[in-house]
Amino acid sequence: WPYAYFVIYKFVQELHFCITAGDGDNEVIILQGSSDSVVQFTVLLGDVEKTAALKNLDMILLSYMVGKYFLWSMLRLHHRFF
Amino acid sequence: MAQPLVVKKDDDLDEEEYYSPFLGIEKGAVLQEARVFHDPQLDARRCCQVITKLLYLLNQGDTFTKVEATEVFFATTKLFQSKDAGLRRMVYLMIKELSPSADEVIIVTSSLMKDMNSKTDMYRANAIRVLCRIIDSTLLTQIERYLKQAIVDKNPVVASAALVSGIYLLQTSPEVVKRWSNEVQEAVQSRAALVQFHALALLHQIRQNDRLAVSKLVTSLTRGSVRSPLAQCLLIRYTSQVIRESSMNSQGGDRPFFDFLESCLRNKAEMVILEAARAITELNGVTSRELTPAITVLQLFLSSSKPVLRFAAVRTLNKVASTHPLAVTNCNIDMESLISDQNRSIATLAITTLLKTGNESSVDRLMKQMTNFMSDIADEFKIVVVEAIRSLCLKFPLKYRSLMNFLSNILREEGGFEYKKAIVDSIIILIRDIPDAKESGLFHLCEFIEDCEFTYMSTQILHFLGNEGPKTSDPSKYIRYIYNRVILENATVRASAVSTLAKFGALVDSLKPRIFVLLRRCLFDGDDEVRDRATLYLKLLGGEATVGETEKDVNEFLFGSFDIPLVNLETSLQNYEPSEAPFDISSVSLETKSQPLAEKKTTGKKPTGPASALSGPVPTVDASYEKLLSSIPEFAGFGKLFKSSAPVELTEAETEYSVNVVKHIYDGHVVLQYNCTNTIPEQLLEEVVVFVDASEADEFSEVATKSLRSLPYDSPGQTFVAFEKLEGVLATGKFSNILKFIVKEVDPSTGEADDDGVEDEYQLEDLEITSADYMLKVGVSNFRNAWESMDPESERVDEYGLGARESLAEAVSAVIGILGMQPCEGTDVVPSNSRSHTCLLSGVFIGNVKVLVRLSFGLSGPKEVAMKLAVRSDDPEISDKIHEIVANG
Repeated sequence: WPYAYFVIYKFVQELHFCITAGDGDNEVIILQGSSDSVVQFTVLLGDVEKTAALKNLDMILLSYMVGKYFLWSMLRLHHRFF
Repeated sequence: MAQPLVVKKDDDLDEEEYYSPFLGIEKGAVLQEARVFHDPQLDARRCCQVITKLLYLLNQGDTFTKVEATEVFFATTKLFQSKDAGLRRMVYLMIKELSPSADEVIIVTSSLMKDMNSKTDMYRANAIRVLCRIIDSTLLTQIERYLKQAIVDKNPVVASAALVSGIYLLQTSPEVVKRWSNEVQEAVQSRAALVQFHALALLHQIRQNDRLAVSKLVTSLTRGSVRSPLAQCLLIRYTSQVIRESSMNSQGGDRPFFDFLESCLRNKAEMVILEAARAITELNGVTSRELTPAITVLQLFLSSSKPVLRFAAVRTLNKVASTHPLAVTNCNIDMESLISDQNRSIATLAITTLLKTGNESSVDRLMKQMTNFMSDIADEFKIVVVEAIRSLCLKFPLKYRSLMNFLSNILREEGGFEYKKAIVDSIIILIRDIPDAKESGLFHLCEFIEDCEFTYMSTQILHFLGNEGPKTSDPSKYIRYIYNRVILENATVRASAVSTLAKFGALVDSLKPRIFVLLRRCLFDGDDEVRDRATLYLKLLGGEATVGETEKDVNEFLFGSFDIPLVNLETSLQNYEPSEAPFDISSVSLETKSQPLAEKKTTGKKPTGPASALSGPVPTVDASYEKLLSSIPEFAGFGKLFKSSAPVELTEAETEYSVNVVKHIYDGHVVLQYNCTNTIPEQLLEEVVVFVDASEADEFSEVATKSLRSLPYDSPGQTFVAFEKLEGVLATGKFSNILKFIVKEVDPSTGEADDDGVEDEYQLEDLEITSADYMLKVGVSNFRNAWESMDPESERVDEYGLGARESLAEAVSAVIGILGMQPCEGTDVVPSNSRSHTCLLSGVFIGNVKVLVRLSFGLSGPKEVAMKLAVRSDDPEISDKIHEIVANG
């Protein structure tokens, strides 16, 4: 089986997540690790919309960059948002 | 630089101003904003936003110069005084992302070490992360004690930070991290899921080179209780690793730890279930009995409401279906419902899986569902489906009718070249492998070429029709389609159609009269190739009155492969002189000779001399020479061919034997290739070899000779002599050459040579290897740019008096000849009556060193020429050597 990547998308109202991962990676881990935390964070703000996420992007970046270690230790993850 | 976001107003936001902190963001402006870090009264919110922008720029690929990074770094260190927790976290991120240099680490280390012992857990955790990222091994020993304490800290955030840092440090200071095994082992037992996961990852990495230790780790943990789902997934991966490396596989016993993997299939967390199922499917030599429980849980995921689970399940089953199709059969019902899934990746995977696992009775139902599906997907997905259908048809030959109908239907729809080609290839394969499918397949292909816009595919199908059509029950029905191509298509397709008609005429006697009528019409085609083919085939097919052998020859010509190299055919045709004897194609050599040779003619005409070494650029090594030399075992080990010279004549024109030589320059070798031509019809030369006297070339030693077995009249051949020299040394010298051979008389009437011959020799001109042979003529498009981009330190400048010269042009030409470099921008042409001239040269010196030369010539007296030589190269020593060459020349 040739090595390949796959992309997982998740749309939560105005937030669009696009996550690429290696062929051997576990889809559930990738999706939960990447997007669920951000969605939960914005839910706490009471507004799952782009403007809320952008205004608090510093906190989101914080969760991603801290999470680099979390994900890096078992996944090869490339993520972009917006 | 980041692109500004496209601002699009939604109706909901009519009342609000749309806000994006990155709109029109650019590095310069953000760096200016960073000055807020220096304010005595810090605005924490504002600082957070600026740091966010800086991190955004870094994340998007922007880079900071060293000066910019230093300024931002120092500004960020000012923020350590802030009490705002959010801002402090951003400060830690910023310092880590900036990766300060060794000089700057000291400044921030004291602050971080203070934070590392802070009572605030968040400060301690983040300080540990940053500190481990930026410290060196010396500082690491100082803080090692604190790190070990942090690993077993009661706060999970602190413990995880230390463990993650350990994973990072293991790459740079493995001997230090390995001393933490006891603390990490304790952390694996932690009740906090976060800590357990990271501890397990670190412990495995510490022990990964010790298979026994990994096995023990897995053994103990598979018996214990691992709480973290992520840790459980890690454990599954490590367990699979142990199973793969276990030697018990070869004994055929039960797999170790398989019970553990199977128990994970019943875990509460979906990620663990998926990880275990996938691990089981990927076991070496997995049996159907072992697969069953994994397939069962994947089948449940197929009907999950979460797309990610459906995707993960169908992706895994797609792989299993390639190796164990029977095991996946039970999922077919669930898989069929996925064909209409709104996620196209899931649908495509479902279809390709079903095509691998479907049984014969489900083929028809599957085809109906796929018909609607195809119009919704992109070409690359379609190609995957087409190839899967091809496999399915070969698997169930009796179902070829519905599958062929499907392929022909999609062939008529829109699609790109690759997609159409995949369909045509599949139909052709089915026709070849399923005899019953031939008639309908050929018919579909005929329909396709009626409206095919791709020349390549039209000719491919016509060729195929020519081979297969005559063997069908009713060949005549294809003639209409073929002749339509002659009427309607471009010249290439028309020529192909003419050949196809000829094949029908040759094999189907009943069609021959009609084929003749059609071919005669082609005699009036506007294209030479089409007319020539029609003429040829009419001649061939019209010879039915002759003996039976002719018919076999005709078929062999039409259907056989043309095995004469075209280069040889062209050479023979050009050498052929009109005479009573017709050209004989059987005399063309089948042997491939890939190198160009200097041709000699036996008539009274004077031959054109070989091209002057100074005319025309020689951009690179002749690929055919390289191929020739590497195919000779004696020379294959010499390495990469640097240069092959132009042929140098060693004989005069109109002599009995014509010989020229090509000098092949390697780093440590020189190969002399002697191209020999025998111009005497009454002679056959054998065992032709050149005896080389290298007594005047001390720096070369002969290492190999390759003789020429036979040299008939007017048929060029090569003989080689190889010399060794020191690498990197500019070895030069003169070689004397004597051609030695055995000459045999040839009977002009029979063309046969005598059995016995006489040894003879023939003196050749001397050959010289000069410094110019080590320079490859490689031009540059813009000399000035190339010159300025080279390191001025490599420049060597000197002046030379060239003495009395006929003219300035003669001096310029002589120096160019000595250097062997490529003139640039036409500067080798000297205007008449010039009193000064500048010449620009470029080249590549042996060792692949780029060299540029600027020559300034001037008249210093009556016919006295002076020259200033400036050389730049990638290597200053080479620049010096260029001067030596000129000084000695």
